[in-house]
Amino acid sequence: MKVHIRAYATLAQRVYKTGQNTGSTVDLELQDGGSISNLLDVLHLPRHEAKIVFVNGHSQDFDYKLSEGDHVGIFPPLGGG
Amino acid sequence: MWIMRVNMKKRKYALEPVPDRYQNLGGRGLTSTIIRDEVDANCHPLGPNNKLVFAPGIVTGTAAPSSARISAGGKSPLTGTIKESNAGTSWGPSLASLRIKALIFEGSPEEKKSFHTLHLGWDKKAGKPEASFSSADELIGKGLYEAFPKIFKKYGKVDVAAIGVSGEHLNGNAGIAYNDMKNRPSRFSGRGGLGSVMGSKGLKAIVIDSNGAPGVEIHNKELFKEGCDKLRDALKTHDITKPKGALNAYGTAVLINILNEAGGLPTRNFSSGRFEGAARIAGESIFEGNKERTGKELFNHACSPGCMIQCSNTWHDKNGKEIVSCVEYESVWSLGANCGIDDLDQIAEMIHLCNDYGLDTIETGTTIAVAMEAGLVPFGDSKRVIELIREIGKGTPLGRILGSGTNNAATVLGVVRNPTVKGQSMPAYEPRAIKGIGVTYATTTMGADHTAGYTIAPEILSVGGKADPATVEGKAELSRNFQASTAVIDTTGHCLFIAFAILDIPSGFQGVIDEVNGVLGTDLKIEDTGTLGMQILKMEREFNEAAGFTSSHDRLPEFMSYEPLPPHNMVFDVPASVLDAVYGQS
Repeated sequence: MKVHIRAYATLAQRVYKTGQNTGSTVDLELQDGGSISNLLDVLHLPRHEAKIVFVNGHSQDFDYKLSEGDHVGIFPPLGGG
Repeated sequence: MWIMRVNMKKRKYALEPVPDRYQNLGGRGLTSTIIRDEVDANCHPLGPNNKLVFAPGIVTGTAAPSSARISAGGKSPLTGTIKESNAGTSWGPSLASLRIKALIFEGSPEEKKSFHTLHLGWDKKAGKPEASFSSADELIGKGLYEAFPKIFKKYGKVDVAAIGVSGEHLNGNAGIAYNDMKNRPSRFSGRGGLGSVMGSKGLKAIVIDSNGAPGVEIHNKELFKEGCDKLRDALKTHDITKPKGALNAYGTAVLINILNEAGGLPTRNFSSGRFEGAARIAGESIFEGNKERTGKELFNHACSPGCMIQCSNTWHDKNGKEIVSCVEYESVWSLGANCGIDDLDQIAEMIHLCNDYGLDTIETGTTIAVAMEAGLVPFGDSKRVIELIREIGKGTPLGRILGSGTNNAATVLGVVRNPTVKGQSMPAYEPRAIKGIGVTYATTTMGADHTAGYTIAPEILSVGGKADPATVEGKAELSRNFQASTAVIDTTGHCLFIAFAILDIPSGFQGVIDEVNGVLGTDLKIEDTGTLGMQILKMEREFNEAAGFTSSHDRLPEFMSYEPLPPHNMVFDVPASVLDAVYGQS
C-alpha cells in the first residue's frame, strides 16, 4: 500500500533527499496492514527519535495499523510556547 | 530586602521593609498578592488608583538555571482582570540584585503627556537602593529601536524596561519592553496592556544600574547548589531543552508544523485549523533560511543570563543582515497563519514594527485578522498589514481602534468571529481541536492565555503523559493542575519552559524545590506546590470576582460552539459544568 509521509525538525534530514523541503510529502510503499512501527523501521528511524506520529491529523501509538493513502506526520520530541 | 514604592504624582519614592507575609513570595505570587491587597478591583486600569508592580522571581538573580524572569502585574486595561505578564531579561536579575523584592508604582501625574525615566542604582554608602527621576522628553514619540540606544548611550552598562509609543498612546495592547543580551528591545511583558498602565503613570523607562549591588541573599548555599545541579542535569538531558535540541535549533516556531498536523493551528481568524503555508513559516524554515542567508547553521541564543535552553532566534535578510529577534511561534502564527501570510521576510518586518512600537505581537496579529474578517484588508495581503501596524504606531483613529485590542476592534467592526476570552485574544492553539487548552482559556484568571495552563504538553507534545486532545474527559483536572503548577513556576522566577524537562524528570522538579528552599531557608515540599499554586489562583480569582467577574465569564466565544473547525470539523463541546469544575472543586 502507498502512504504519504512528512517528517519534521531533526528528522527531516533523515527522510528527505537533498533539495526537498521540510514538510513536503514523500510517498512510500509499505506492506499491507503495516503499522507505524513497521514504517519507522523502513525509514530507519529509532523509536526515541520519532516520538510523535500523526495519522490523518490524529496522534497514534506505534502499533497503529496504517491504511492505503494515510497521511503520516513524524516528529521528534519538541516543545515551545 | 525592600519594597520600593514610587509615587508618580509626586515623583517620590520610599523604601519599606518586606512584610512577613510577603517574605516567601516572588514573581507572580507577589505581584498578584500586592494587587489583591492594595488595588481596588473596581478602579479604572488607567486611572490613579491602579498600581503597576514588578517583582523578580524567588530565585531570579541567582545562579539557578533559566531563572531570569521578571513579573509585571496590575489591573489589565485589556481584560479588566488582574494581570501578570512575565518576561526573560537581565532587567529582572538586576532588580533582584538591588534586593528590591517588589517595585510598586502608584498614582499618576497631574500634567498630561508628561513622561519620566526612573533610574535605579545602589547607594554604597547607605547600603541600600537609590532612585532618581529625569525627564524622558528626548524619548517621547520615538520607536524603541531608536530609544534603547539613546538610553544605553546616556547611562552606560544598564538594564532597561520601557514602553513604546503604544504605551504613550495608552493602547490596550501595549506591552512593556526589556532589553535582551544584545540590548535589543525584544523581551516583553506583552500580554494584557500593562504598557498602557505604565504610560498612564507618566513612566517611559526604568533604568537599572546594578553596579556594586549586593546580589540575592541565599540562606542555604549548599542546598541551593544541589538544587541548581539537579535542574541543570534535567535541562541538559531532556530532548526538548538540551543543547541543539528542538528549542535550541528551531526555536518556539518548531510548533507550527505539529499544530498544523494536529489540525489545531488557528488560520485566517480562527476559521480553519490548517494553514497551507505552515511549513514556509515554521521553525525549520527559519533555521534553513538563516543557514542559506548567513552561510552557517545558527543555533539560538539565550534571552537572558543563565539560560540553558537558549530558544531565542533571529531572522536575516537576503544579504545575511539581521532583520529581527525573536521570531517566536506565537508571533509567526498571529501575524502569519492567522492572517493568511506565509512570507517570513514580511512577518519579520511586522514583528520588528511591533517591537518598535511596544505592541504585543499576539494581540496585534489577532486584531488585524479580525479587521481582515471585517473586510478592511484581504487575508494574505502582507503589505497592507504592515500599513495597518504603522497606523497603530502613528496613533491615527484607525490605529487607536486596532491598538485597543481584538475584542474592541471586533466590537467596533461588527465581527462575530471574535476569538477572545475576558477581552484578551486567544493565542496559537485552537480550542475546538484541543479541548484542554480551551478549558484553560476559559477559566484562567488572565483572559485567554496558553501559558496559564499549558495542557498542550500532554495533549499534543506527549510531555508529562499523554492526553487525547479531542476528548472532554479529565480536562478540568488537567487544566487545573497545569494552572496551579504554572502559578508556582511563575513565582519561582523560572522560565515556564523548564516544565518540559521537570514534567518528565522528577529529580529536576526536586531541584527547583531545593533551590527555593535554599534561597528562602524554607521547608517547601513537592507535594505542597499544588496547594501553593491554588492559593495564588484563588487570590487572583478573588480580585476578579470583586471586579465583577462570574462563572459566566469563564466561557469561550459562542461561535466556537456552533461553527465546526476544519479539518476535524469539531466544535468546542466542553459543558459549562466541566468549566465550572476547574475551580469548583478546589
